[in-house]
Amino acid sequence: MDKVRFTAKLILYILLSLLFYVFMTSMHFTRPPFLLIPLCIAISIFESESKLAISLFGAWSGILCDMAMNKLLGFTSIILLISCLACSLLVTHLIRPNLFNHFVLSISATTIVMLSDFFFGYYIWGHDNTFIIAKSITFPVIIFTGILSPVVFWIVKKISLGIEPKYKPTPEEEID
Amino acid sequence: MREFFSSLKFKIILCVLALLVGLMIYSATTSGTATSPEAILGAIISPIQKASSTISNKARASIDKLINADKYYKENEVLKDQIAELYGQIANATDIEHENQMLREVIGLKEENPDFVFSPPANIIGRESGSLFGAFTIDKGSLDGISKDDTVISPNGLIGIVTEVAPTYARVTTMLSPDIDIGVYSSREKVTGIVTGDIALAKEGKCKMQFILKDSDIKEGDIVVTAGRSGIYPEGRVVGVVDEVGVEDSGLSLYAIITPIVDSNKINSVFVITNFKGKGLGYE
Repeated sequence: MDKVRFTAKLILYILLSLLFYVFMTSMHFTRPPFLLIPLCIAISIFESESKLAISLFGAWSGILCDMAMNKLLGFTSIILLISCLACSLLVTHLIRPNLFNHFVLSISATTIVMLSDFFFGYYIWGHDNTFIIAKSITFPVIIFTGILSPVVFWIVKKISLGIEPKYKPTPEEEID
Repeated sequence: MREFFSSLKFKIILCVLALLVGLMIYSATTSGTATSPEAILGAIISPIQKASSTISNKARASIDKLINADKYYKENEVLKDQIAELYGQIANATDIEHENQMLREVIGLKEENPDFVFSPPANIIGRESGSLFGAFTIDKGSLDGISKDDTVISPNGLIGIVTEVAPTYARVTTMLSPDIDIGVYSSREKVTGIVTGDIALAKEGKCKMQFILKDSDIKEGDIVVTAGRSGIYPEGRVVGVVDEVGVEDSGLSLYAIITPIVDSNKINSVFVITNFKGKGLGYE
């Protein structure tokens, strides 16, 4: 039954990731929030026991990000796979699964993704005025993603805890 | 934690990581053709993107009317003044004749270019996230005869070039991107140059024409069209209008700031020229 519940959650997370991908690419945003990143960080936090599944989900989210940004396929996947694994290990052994930690981890992961994109996509090619990309795209995306990350945290929390079995006290515990 | 790092699951994760690195290398070597995962995902996601794009465009149009009412009023006033000025030009036969000659040279229609082969009209279903250069995805691909480096146009002029193609979709890079170079000349005095993207200008929706000879007669308002010498772009497609002319920092040549004739952020459908006379035959 636990496997069935986890599979159901995974399907919902995948549908959510597709929705966020469509949101990123259909709207006329120059600086869209990359909601796929806080999504996979939130899933890493709430499903930290299933490290393989969340790592694969991080890779999947990364592939969607690469398609949305028209970048080399696999570039963001590698970053998000490692980020998701690292987050789940942190939550398991070190930090609490709360909103503040999710916000910090989301901002960190988004910063790594966007700065890598800036460095490998623009800076090393020697284009003029690359600082405009940093000012107009890189940092605004990090900020907008951070601002909207609590919403994503709340959605994933609802899905994760909503599908978990409700705790039923035994008759002895009820008497007590 | 040590048990996790020595577990089978961690080894599987390492294998997936190696696979992603391999995918990245493969993707880099097949630039221009979408990899199989991209093609499959694109085929699945395209219908959803089309629906979302339609809703988004309608919402954007409604919001645009409300937000930009003042701007459109001012534009309307400016256009009224321009119309009054044009009425004054009607009286001048020489001006009209010169204007007609210029228009004949720049307008590239099917009647003047019977060698053009067009794809079916393509709709824009997605736009590149986090980019200043306005790249977008269209809902036609190799199954519709589109291939890499095909020219993308609208009825008004050139937009860009296909840089990646899959069976059911294609990615278009616009002329605002620094990765695109287009050989052009001005329609009035045939002044040649190369139009390419510039990051600072792309933010304003403009691009740059460079390598213009210093003694060239190019000025604000000149229309710039494709030269058609590279074998990539057909000749005579309108690229844009000269906004400003300046001298390069080296002092050896001129540059011109070009406003593209087509704003890729405001269009929803495009045409792709899949073949034309001279395609693939670069100037030697």
